Amino acid sequence: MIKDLMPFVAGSYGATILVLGTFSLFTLLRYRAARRRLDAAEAARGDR
Amino acid sequence: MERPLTQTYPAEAGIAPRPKGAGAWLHRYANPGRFQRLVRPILPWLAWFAFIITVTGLVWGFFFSPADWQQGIASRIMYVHVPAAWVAMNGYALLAVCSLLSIVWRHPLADLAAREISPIGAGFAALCLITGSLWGRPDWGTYWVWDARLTSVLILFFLYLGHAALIRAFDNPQHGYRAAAILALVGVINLPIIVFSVYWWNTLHQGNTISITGPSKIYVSMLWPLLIGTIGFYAAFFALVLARISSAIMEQRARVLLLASAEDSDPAKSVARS
Repeated sequence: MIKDLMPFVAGSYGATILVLGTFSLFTLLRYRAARRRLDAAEAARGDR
Repeated sequence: MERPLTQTYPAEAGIAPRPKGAGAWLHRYANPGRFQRLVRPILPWLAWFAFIITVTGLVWGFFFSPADWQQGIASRIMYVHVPAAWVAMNGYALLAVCSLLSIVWRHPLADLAAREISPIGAGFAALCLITGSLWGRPDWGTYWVWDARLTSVLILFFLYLGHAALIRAFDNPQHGYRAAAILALVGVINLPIIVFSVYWWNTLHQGNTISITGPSKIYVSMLWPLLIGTIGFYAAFFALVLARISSAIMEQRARVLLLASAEDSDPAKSVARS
């Protein structure tokens, strides 16, 4: 019984980790890139 | 023309009536600079809280929760399916509130929030559908059935996708914000349909097990991991949305600064100005 059901349970938890992990990773990368870009733009304005 | 976030919004500039009551409170936080000052210190704590609580909920649900006497270990899918469904539905309610604020007060943060909520909401709605299908196969003998609850959640997923596409579809972002806000508000009708579908129609999907107003039909050893998972999913949702809004504000601010730098260094404009 447990053996039969395990793929469905594991698949659900795997999908959760995949969806939340992907969103978290892309959000973190976007946040860092935006911060870097803003710092560069502010530095460029400050140099002028 | 995109409304720059550095600019005050209509109510602050005095060209629209200042909101009163609850609106006045929201009005205080319409300023993106204030939002950033508020969110920046909170965000890392919220992200770590979301991570720890979500992982705790997942580990508790997968390894330590009791198996149901009828469904066996398939009931463990509940600890990811139910929180995903709740976040997807309440995320849509939040999207509708942002859309209302956008239409009534032209709140720039509400526009940005709506823009950033819809992809995350679509992710949670997709997760709800995927885990629901994986739960349906061993319990109902099928991955999918055109039952009222499943169909209305599928419509919720499409509403999120439609909103995310529509808000980005126009050259003039203001047109996109307005069209998407109308779509989001019209789509609110789907929320009570999702909630009451199991009572209005004869569905394969079970009725509500947990009730805020009355006694819940779930054993306490199953309720705890479900509550922990729900708190984790909500925290993850808010951390993702806040981080995305903050990123969008920084991107827009950087764009404004770069444009200003480019204008300053343009010799033709310098001559015209002098």
